[in-house]
Amino acid sequence: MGFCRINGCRTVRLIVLLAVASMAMAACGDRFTDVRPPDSERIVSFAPHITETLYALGVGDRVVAVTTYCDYPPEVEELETVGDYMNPSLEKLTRLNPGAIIVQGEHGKVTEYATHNAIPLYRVDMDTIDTIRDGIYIIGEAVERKTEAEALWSDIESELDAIRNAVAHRSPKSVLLITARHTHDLNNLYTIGARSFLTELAELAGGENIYGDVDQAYISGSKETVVMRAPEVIIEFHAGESLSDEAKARFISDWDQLGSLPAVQNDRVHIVMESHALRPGPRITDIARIMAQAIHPDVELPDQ
Amino acid sequence: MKPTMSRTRIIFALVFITGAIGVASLLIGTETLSPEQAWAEWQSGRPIRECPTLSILFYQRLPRTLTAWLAGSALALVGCAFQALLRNPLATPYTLGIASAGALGAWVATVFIQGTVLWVTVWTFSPIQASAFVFASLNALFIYLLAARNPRMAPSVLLLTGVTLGMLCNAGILFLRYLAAPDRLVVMDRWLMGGVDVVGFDIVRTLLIGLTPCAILLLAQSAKLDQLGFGTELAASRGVHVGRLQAVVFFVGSLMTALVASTVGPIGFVGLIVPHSVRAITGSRHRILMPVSLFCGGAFLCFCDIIARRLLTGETPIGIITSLFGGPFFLYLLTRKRFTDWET
Repeated sequence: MGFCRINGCRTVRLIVLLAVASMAMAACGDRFTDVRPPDSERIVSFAPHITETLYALGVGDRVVAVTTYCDYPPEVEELETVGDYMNPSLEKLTRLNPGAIIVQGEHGKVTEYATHNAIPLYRVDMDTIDTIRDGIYIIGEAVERKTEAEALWSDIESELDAIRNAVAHRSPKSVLLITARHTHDLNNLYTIGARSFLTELAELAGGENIYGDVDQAYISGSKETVVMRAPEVIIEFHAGESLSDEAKARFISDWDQLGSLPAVQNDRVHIVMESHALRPGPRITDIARIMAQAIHPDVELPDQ
Repeated sequence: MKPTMSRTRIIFALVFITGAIGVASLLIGTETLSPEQAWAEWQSGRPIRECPTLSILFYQRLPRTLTAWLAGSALALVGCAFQALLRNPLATPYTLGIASAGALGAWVATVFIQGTVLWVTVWTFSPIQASAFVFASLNALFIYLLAARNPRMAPSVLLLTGVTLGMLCNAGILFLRYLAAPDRLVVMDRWLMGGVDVVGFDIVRTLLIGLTPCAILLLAQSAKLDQLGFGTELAASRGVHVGRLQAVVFFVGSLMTALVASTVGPIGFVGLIVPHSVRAITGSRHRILMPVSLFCGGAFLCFCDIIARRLLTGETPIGIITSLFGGPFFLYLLTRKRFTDWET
């Protein structure tokens, strides 16, 4: 019994000690995570559309590292890469000693790293046209280019308006937007719902997404629904791929299996290969233009 | 071991259930079809492919019903045969790592072959399916060469080899996932959940041609599999050529699994719960257990596919449905008394 009591006493002492130690560490921790003043001379971008925004704001020379998927403007190819969204390289990040990190959405690992190392972290959620605007403003503020950000957005907005006005007198055409189809069958069709900027862009370009009523960004679409909603135009994104004319023709001819669709009967299946086609960045005007041309090929669009 | 229902009643019930689910599978879908519209389209004389309602019926619901039925019946039959072969109630068509190897093949195709000259469709096989099939078959061959060189396969060695190879394949998949571009991750993850939402009859034809002779061959072994249940020694003494039986069941079962997993993805659970559920009704004699499992497996997957179409907007992966609905049902069955049958 005596042994037990001594032992119990030790345990209590140990617990108290640990509690004190952890409180002390927590107190230190508070000081530890005080964020350094932003040194926006050394920016790390964690998404292609963030990189594009930084360059569009004229601070490309201050970007030190980007992700492996960033490919625009071409000079980013020479920059260091810090992995990608899924697999960020924290060691590389440490070596680069960034002054500011900009991420898209929830980014657990990098957020934790930035907090721990007191690096200013900016988060954008660029998914819809409104949040793309907000994102551009957030980035503008982060790099002290507020006026440029406002100017950039007003340029984007006026170009989107110009495209909208050009097709406004046409009755909207129903559109099916397809993302990520790699095999020549129509199994597992991935399409885009209301929560994506692509639905908004399609509407602006004189179309109406047949899945625009579904409150999701991406949906595994049912082909029965596709047949019943009978899209007049199909836009299939092969972003970043370089398909030969032959390969493109094959992807288009796959749709013959759904021969009742007006889009198929009238040869209105379009393949879009631009690498920024699914990127919610400053070049959405380009995507809107491509969509408007696909949906209303006979309408003349204003010059850029 | 005594059947708990008379054979005619079982056959009658089976035909009825299969027929009813088949008809339901044609009538129930994401979209509600109007009979008047279908009739008007039929009268119009236009090609079926160009009529919305008729094309949904003939080119979507009919092939996917048949695909689900063929895949489900094959998985249930192979599950039944593998449980006898490995003498293990936990055995499924995927226990020997065949589906994992198929999935690895699908990943290899997506990561390495896509965009190269090898990315071609062979007969009705897409590159993903072809690669999945090749990997799954190689896995089976490898297990055979490694574990089954002896005249009689030891179920434990077969199991260990299969499970180890399955783990190796899963490690390979994780590595390829790491290498793959994010847009491909989505596509491949979807593939891994299985799906029978085919358009047209290409896959139905592939499955029908590939699975029918295999199924007949497996069903022909049913009496011998009963003998195997008493142990290899006893089976051999009763005139069963055990080595040959094991090789036939192993290869035919693996081939069927490879074909199903590569065409519709690794749909889980069917091969486990259907044979066990059926065993609770018919008893353990393979001559009746195997054909009944075959019918019930088909009907079960058809039923799950109907739910997959209606559950959410768009297509719900069928692999999720089989586990989500099959799992609780199986747990319920396990609480029933009849379930001690395996022990006897």
